Amino acid sequence: MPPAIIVNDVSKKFARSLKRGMIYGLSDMARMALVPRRWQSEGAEARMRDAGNEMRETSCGMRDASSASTESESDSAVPGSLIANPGSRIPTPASRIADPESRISHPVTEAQLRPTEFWALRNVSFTLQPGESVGLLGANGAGKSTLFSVLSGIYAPTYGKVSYRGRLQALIALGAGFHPSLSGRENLYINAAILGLKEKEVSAIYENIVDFSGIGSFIDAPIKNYSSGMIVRLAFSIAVHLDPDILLIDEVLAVGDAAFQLKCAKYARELVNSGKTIVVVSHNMLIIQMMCRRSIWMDHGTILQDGDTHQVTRDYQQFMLMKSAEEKTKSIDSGVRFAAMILQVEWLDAEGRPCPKLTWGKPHQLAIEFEAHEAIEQARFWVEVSAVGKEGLVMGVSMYDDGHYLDIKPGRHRLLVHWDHLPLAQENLYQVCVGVRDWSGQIMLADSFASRLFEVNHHGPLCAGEPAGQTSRLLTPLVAAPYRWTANDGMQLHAFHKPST
Amino acid sequence: MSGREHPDGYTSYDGIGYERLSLSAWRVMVRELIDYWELIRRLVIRNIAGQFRQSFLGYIWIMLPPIATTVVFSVLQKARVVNIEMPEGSMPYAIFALLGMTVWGYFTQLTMMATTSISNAGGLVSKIYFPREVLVLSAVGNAIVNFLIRLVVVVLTFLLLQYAPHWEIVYYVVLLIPFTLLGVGLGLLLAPINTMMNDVGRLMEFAFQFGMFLAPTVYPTPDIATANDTWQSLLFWAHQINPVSHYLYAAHELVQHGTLTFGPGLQAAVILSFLVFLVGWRFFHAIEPLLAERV
Repeated sequence: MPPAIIVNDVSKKFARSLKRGMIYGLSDMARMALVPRRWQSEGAEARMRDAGNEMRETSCGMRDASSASTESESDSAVPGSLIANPGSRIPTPASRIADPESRISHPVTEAQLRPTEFWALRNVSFTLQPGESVGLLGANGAGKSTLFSVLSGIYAPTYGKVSYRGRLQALIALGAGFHPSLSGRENLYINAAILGLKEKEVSAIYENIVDFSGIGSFIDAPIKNYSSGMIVRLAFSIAVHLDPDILLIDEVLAVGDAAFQLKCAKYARELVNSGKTIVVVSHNMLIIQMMCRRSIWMDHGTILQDGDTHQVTRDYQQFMLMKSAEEKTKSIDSGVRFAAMILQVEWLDAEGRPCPKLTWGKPHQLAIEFEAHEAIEQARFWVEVSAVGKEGLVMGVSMYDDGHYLDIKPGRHRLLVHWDHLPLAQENLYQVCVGVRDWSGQIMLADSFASRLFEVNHHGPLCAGEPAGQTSRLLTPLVAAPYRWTANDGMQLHAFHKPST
Repeated sequence: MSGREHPDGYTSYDGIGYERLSLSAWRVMVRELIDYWELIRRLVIRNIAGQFRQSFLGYIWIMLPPIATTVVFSVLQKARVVNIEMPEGSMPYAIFALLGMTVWGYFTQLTMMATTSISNAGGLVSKIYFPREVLVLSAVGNAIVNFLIRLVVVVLTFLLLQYAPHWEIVYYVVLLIPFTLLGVGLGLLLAPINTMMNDVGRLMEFAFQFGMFLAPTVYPTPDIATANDTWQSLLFWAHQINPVSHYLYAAHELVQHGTLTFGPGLQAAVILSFLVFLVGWRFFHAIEPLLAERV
């Protein structure tokens, strides 16, 4: 089968400043309309050749720099903080250049930009096969929507080329072109016409569209009386009934209610099964994991990672968490100073050695290292474990529940939580969050600390004699798992009643 | 579609599509026009239907401006505040002014609506791809519909004043083609520039508002033969270099005498109209890919 979408070395630049953008636009227009093509391409190619040499040098520099930084990162990574360095999985720019499929013919540089311009897409290349569903990840401003716009022909790429086979349908702005005073029916026909359908074709699928949208008798009411959800439902129904070969979905599924979302997801799966191609942009990893087998992670206009969804979403989330943790640290440095500061949270095995990977049912300890800047009385710690991509807590232990409190002398301390049988089941990514407050729980004594992500192996059987492969996979432990706190010499652990656990 | 459709079934877009500048672009342009005719029709209907959905007087609002101007100038004329000398044996002043205002108003609306069509549809342009000419042409369609509605007023006035125009006026339809193309061409030239600098739209509005008084709309062109001072001949030439004047002359002549003098002025105007249209369309098509990011 020939590929459904070929994105070949696409770059796109924009201007930040409105006024300058106007001037650039006018000069671009004048150049396009007046200067013959022969002269344009000569000049452009000469510029690109120069720029290309420059880029190759800088990219080498970048590779050295990035590999150096990944090494230093893994060195500095605290042993026992569990996850393998994610940087190592991210392909460096050099490796992308080496990839024969994504040959960079027009490498972009900052030198090619006029003042206030920036590259929204830099040398993006990938190929999608029919029947493939791909998730597009990335922080805001990573270039996902620009890529969609280029694919759907709204923006012309500055360099490079996109090609696709068959009818491409972009669900970027649902309801664009709706006239508020006209009825849903009238708007349906107009919208379908804008999307390239003839009147007869629309009439043939009219009933299906209205049924799918679930709007019912509202179809004859003016659009301005619709709720926002109804507008999106109508627009989405129109778009998916155009029988696209390629569907670009940009975070639109989030608007409808749960029932409609489910319907959409089901519809998307049917499309994929029938050999259509789907590209989904979403910040919801669950949607991406549910709908896509392959994912592309974009950052600052480049493709950072392209591969198995499970892998990419995991690295992406790790990256985002680290970024938010960094920002948090920054805000702490400039902001409030608490009585204590949690320095490190790490998992240990039963003997107190740092443990790279936890195992369900085995004894484990969580070591909380913190520094008390002053003497603290009646401090109470809590530990919460959450699973990445899942709502709610998986496990929580708290001195508020078990009736403990700590009197702490100034200095560095180490508090341990012991489990004889770690109750974290299922292979999953987890994160621990640790906090400490005063007796009443109203005053924060230290900023809460979020650990790096960690994984749990599920080697052992749940009950004796059961083969490991057939254990039911639990996310939340159904059994109460006993634990205990241990404090070092600088602290005194009190319990005002016997722990209920 | 804007991209090239290849025989192997691929549609592609590449860097600022240079194929838009080649000679074969004309074929693509015509093709797009045919493919999207349906959409143009729908958008015209949408705009007309949506325009006055919440208005009591509805289409009266379209008819009012030429009527108001005509009535005002007729009153001024009768009260001798202005003293407009109509040539011997000319049509009644009210009909002259109404004809002038209707034709001028048509051209004004046509050009203005076409010029602002892209920037007014910014939300649509930046989100969905379709040939942008569609927006300009649907604006033109709306202007034509408005013109037809205003023609009703002209016909009613003929009946009211019991003035029988020569039936040859129907030939004016032929002249309306280059006249309309002149407005479309101007719109196609100016609409892209207006997306970035809406000064263009305002400038045009201003030009049309005051240009009305420098064209044979509410008063006839002074006769150069009897012109006795430089001001009159200056005004004469101001009328002559304006292509719209020649279309106005033709309308007046057809109504009054049932003849059409295809003189050098009108010839130049028609040729200019076709040229402006072709250049405008070509220009518009060439820079179409840049529109979305500038609206």
